[in-house]
Amino acid sequence: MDWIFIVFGKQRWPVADVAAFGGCVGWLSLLVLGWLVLASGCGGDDPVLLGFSGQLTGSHADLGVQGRNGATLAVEAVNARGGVASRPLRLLASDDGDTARGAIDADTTLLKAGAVAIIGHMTSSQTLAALPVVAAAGGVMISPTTATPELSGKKDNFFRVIPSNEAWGVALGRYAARQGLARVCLAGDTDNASYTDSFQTAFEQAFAEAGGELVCHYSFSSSRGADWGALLDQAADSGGQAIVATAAARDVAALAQTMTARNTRLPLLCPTWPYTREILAIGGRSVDGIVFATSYSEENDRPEFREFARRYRERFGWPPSFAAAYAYEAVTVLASALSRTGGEARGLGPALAATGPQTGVISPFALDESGDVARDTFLVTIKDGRFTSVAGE
Amino acid sequence: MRPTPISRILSRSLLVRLVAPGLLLLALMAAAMISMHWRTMERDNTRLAATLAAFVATALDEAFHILETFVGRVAPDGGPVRPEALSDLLAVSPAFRRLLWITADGTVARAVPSGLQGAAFPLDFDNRQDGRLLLSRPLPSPIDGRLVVYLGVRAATGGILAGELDLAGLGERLTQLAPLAGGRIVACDAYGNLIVHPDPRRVAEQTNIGDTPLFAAAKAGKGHLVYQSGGRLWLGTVGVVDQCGWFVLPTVPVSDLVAPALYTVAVLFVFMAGAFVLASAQLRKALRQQVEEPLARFAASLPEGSGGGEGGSGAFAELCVFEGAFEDMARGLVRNERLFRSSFEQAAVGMAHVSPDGQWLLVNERLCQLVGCSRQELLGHSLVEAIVPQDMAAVEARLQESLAGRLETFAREGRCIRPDGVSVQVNLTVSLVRGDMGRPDYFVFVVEDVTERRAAEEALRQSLEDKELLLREVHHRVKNNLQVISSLFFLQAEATDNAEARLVLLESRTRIASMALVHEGLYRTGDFGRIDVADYVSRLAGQLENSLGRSGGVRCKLGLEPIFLSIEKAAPLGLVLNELITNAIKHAYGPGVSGEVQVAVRLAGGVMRVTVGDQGQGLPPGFSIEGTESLGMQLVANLTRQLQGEVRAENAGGALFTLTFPV
Repeated sequence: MDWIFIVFGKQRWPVADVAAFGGCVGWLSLLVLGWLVLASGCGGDDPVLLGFSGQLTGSHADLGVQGRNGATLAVEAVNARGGVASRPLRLLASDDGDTARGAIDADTTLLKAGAVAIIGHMTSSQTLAALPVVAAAGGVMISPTTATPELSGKKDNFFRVIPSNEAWGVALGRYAARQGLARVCLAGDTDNASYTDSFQTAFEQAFAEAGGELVCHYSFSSSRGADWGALLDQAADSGGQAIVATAAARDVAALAQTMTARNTRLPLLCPTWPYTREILAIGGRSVDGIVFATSYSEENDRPEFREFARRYRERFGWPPSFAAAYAYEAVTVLASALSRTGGEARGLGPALAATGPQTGVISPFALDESGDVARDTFLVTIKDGRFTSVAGE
Repeated sequence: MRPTPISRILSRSLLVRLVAPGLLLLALMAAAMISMHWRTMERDNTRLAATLAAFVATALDEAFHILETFVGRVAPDGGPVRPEALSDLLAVSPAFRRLLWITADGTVARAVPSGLQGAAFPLDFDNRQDGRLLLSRPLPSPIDGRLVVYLGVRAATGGILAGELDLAGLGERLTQLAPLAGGRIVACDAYGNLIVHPDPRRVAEQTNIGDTPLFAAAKAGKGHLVYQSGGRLWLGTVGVVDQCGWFVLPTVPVSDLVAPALYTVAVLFVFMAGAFVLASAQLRKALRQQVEEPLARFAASLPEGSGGGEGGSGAFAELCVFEGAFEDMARGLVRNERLFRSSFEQAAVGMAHVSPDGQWLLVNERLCQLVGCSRQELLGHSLVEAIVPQDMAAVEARLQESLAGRLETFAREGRCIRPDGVSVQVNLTVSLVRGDMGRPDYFVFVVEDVTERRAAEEALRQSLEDKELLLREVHHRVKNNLQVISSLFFLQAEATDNAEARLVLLESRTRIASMALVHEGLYRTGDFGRIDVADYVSRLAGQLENSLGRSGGVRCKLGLEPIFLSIEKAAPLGLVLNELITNAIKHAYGPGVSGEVQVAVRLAGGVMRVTVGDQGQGLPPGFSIEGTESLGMQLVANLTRQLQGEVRAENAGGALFTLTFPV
């Protein structure tokens, strides 16, 4: 076979040698191709992992899903601007199942996966359960919607972009007094006791200072179900003029529907917790007139908010709730802190405390040295199936 | 078993020239198969996505159709809707989980199963041209939280018959329609909110896939995309559900696509590898038995020191041995050639190689000088032209004898006539060199210039001849002079009356005569360095018989051997013999008594033994040669000492004198 030659340039190559060389190259190429096809893929830039932990399923999933989506939108916005320290952010979401155990397991899983911080939880009980575990692992937690005052004023690796619910309780208590309500019933979900207790205590104190009186106190567990009829009976028996419901949107909607069905309309006063579209979807017209004390309003005219709402609707197909907005702000301020630490978890706590004033989406805010924020309180109601500000408040 | 070097060469050659091209073809075939299979799968999956999207569209269409069919029947007159009507409709509509009748003002008038009744329907339908209403966003059902979509159709009265479509059931039907082993079917709305996913948990968590590459490709209008997810490569295809903007996205792992082609290639590779191994093993076995082992035996038979040490380079053990041997051989050849050249060219004699037909093949410089021709001139001519014709005939005859095998080497003198006419006497030594088959190859001529030597020899011979002549003349004259002296002594003895003086004179005369005989012997034989002892003794004995013995009847009996003696020893020996024989003749026998005197001369072991004896009266008691006052005996003693010999006198049936001396 050596008498067959291939002329290449000025060199004659025996065709056997050319074929041999080509065979080796071809096989090598095939192996490389096969490896590329079959093996694990190549890695691009090493992303910075953020963990989102919230209830993605269950009766309170509206908070978690909105929060996750808001965080997702913020991550995409940061990546569009080049990421953090030239590294993209990647959001890992984990369902905390709306339970303490679930919260701990979800956060542990996220930290093991390499998350530099936890965005969550969306409810105070899960945050209180999981924070010690996260802090012990050296992690940082920043919550969009955990409003319990039990976490205020502490340097505990915990940050939040929502104020504690005590302000809401005070505002609502004073509002109730201004509305001429003298006797109210308190109904609260013990599954989120830390949130429920602090809000109810603040309301009770402010209402009492304004001359009001608590005539009944109904506690229930959303996971085990509530007997709304019994609540209404208790309120009627005690002469309550209104019900302050500290519960999720689904539960408040059910309460409102029950009142409608019994043709009993008592004013419902709520904190921010049930202030989601789900209350509209489930409650229908029954939820008209509910008053919420919140730091979030859908009638926010800020360009930043309008732009955020537009982008959220375009991205996910439905309007954002306060959970999405707060989650967006939480990721934004976290990204700012990560820029200082080069995308690493080390030094993230002090970096967060030093982020300073933030433009925000809902309103400007700044994390204090304890990781808390102070924000204005609004009173919002539902009118004709839409959220609207309470006139004059 | 460790492969031998030649086996490795074979394996490598097979690998490079057979396997590698085969691998190239296999790689090309694999690439072609993968490409074809890929295109087929891509096309099939695209069709599948379109089919599934059409199925979803059909399912939605059927759901709408059911609503459209019954919307006029549930509230035909615009009156209240009977719950039984909705229940009946729900019973025949397994796709729906709930049916609602919504009044024109948006209030839920009836709901089966019950719920939201009397409440405002919280959702806004997107108005459609054809009267069909759809809320594309999936949301958890208010009944049990399962993901649902609401469909609605508007009645003529303005009311809306709405149904809660069970997306989980839709997903199960999709999966049953197209079970993709290893793959998955995903469906989402126009915003990426999951509707169907193999992992129900992801649907339950209302996961959004709007940030995934496949969704982006679907929104961009692409039909398929290869993307990476979860550390694997996937081929995703896009099916668009008409009228609602949903996407059905079947995805298949790329490894599943290429695996069939790779499997075929792997099988072919295994076959090819097996064939290569089998062929290689058989070839190596044959090579080992028929080539390597014989070569190894031959390599082992080579002298020690051949080759490159322990196995040479490792890869060519036998060849290294051969190479070393060949190198040694080449070095030896070069060395021998150099030796030959130096010896041939620098020889002091002319040397040449001549072909059997007489042509000069190779000549050295000395030969050229001898014959007076240049190398080129000589090589262009034949032998005949260089040697004198008279000598050539003899040389040619000898050459022919050599060619015939009767003579291998001969030497002969001849003459060469140089171009300048000078004749050169040369000594030719010719030997025949035969080839491997014994055939004559060429003659080796060694030509020695002996001109000067011959001239010197001639001069020497002439000088020698002259000297011989001179010596002859000298010895002749000495002999004559001694004879004259002897004659004078004889005359003086005749002239004197003193008997004692006369005796002395006669004794001296015989002595001188014996010396003259020596010289006579020298010039007569022509050998001036030595004398024939037998001839001299016989003449001396004859002379003494004549002068002393014949009258008394004493005769000499001789026992002589052919012995030659130098003149330095012959002269004293002659004098001793003269004394002893004279003494014997005179005194061995009484006056007038005849007898013999035995004279013997022997040479043995470099010692000459001369005996003179008789059977006469013997020696007197107490006789001693040294002790006697006789001049003759004194001469005998002295001359014996001169000869460095010994003389003994004894009685042995008479007197016996024995003289021994080294020669």
